[in-house]
Amino acid sequence: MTGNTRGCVTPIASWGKRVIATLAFALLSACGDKAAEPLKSTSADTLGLPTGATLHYAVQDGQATAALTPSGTQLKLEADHTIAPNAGVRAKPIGQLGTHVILATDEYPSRPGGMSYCQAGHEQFLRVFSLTPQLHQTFQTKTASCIDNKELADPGIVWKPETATLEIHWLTETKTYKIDPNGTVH
Amino acid sequence: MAALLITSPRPNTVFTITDEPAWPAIRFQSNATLGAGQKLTWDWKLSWGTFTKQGKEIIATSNLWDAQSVLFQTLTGGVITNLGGQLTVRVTGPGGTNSVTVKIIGTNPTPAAILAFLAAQPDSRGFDAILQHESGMKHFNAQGDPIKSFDNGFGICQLTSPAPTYEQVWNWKLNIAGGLALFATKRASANAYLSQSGRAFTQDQLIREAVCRWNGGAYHTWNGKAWVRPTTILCDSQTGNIGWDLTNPANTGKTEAQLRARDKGTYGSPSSPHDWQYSGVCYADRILG
Repeated sequence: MTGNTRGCVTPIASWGKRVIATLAFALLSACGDKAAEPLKSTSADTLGLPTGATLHYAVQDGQATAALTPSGTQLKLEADHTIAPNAGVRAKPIGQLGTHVILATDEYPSRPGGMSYCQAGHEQFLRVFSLTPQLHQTFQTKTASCIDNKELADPGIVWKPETATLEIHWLTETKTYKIDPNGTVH
Repeated sequence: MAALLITSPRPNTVFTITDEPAWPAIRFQSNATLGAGQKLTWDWKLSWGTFTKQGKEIIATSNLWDAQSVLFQTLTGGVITNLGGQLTVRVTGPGGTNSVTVKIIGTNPTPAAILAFLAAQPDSRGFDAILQHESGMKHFNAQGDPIKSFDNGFGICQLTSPAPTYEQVWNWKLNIAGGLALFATKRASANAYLSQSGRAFTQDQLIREAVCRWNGGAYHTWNGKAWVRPTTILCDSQTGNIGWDLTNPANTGKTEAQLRARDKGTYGSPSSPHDWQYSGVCYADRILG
């Protein structure tokens, strides 16, 4: 669902309570929960991580970054031409594997075209980060795009920590990935 | 030998594309008289903004006729059809070189003609409403140039991405075809979304879903039995596509009037923090009623 992709999220013991700043990250309590996440306009967003660190997302001049504090490691996130100039960002936790592999989405307003095309649209990326030895990204895929006509079907993104399995339910197919303890995605 | 001149048209002549659109016959005439084996080279360049197209043609005499008092170069008939702007033609031959620049401008079709054209295109329902709402049904400005927006959107459909061709910028029918192609992707997405898991939907729901997606996001939600409009979106009926997510505690329990009074001052600065949102649902409601 473009601009309204659901993440089917398994509750995370401490992570969901560590959301920083003014963001309302309503972690969905169960797969299939239809509750919409409140939309806020933000120029940056921060996720609290299980280790006690925080992952800070920001966009400047069209370049999205994620920075881990307190380590200070900054990672340039690969977005694309579809995100709006001066876009805000909204991050959302999807799951974790151990304490050092993080799954999260980052979402941006679409770059609008003429005749209000995609003015209300969003571009969303799902990423897997490993925090060791330093913050790095091991996987990314675009999960929603008004510009590129990408969207997920119910139940969207499903993370099963017990089997370290990530399911992405597209309208036309479901893709399943296994994630190693070091963050490698197969 | 007399100096080679383009004798017609005069410099800065303005040629007008009809509202059909049909391109004017633009025929360049020189004063050349060629002997056997002599030739004229005609170079032409048509440009408008960053769009350019150019070509060259060589006309030579043959042994069957060795002279002609005037020679022509005609640039319509598929050469510059669908294009407009500044046209410069240069002729080079035994008498030297000469060039002339003329201008080609457009004529707006009537709204009725636009809608009639759209109605004849397959799967255009819904896009006609978008076009009427968004474009003002104009393709050319008062000077006869295609409308261009600040973000390089061109023509009646304000085509931006994918970047329009020169032809789509100047031919309003090709421009609409470009917009309709974009709408077709939304319609296809809408169809895939609504038909997931074998769910049933109506043609009206398909159109509403496609129009919503044009602006962004899905319109309908599945209530377990049918596709329905989400009850969690409240729209500002005085705007085109601004609404509120009623699951946001800041908005819950408030009326449209209360939310509008609170937020309308921030509509003009969407990058500042706010609790309203651009909503494809509100967009579709606004456009389709």
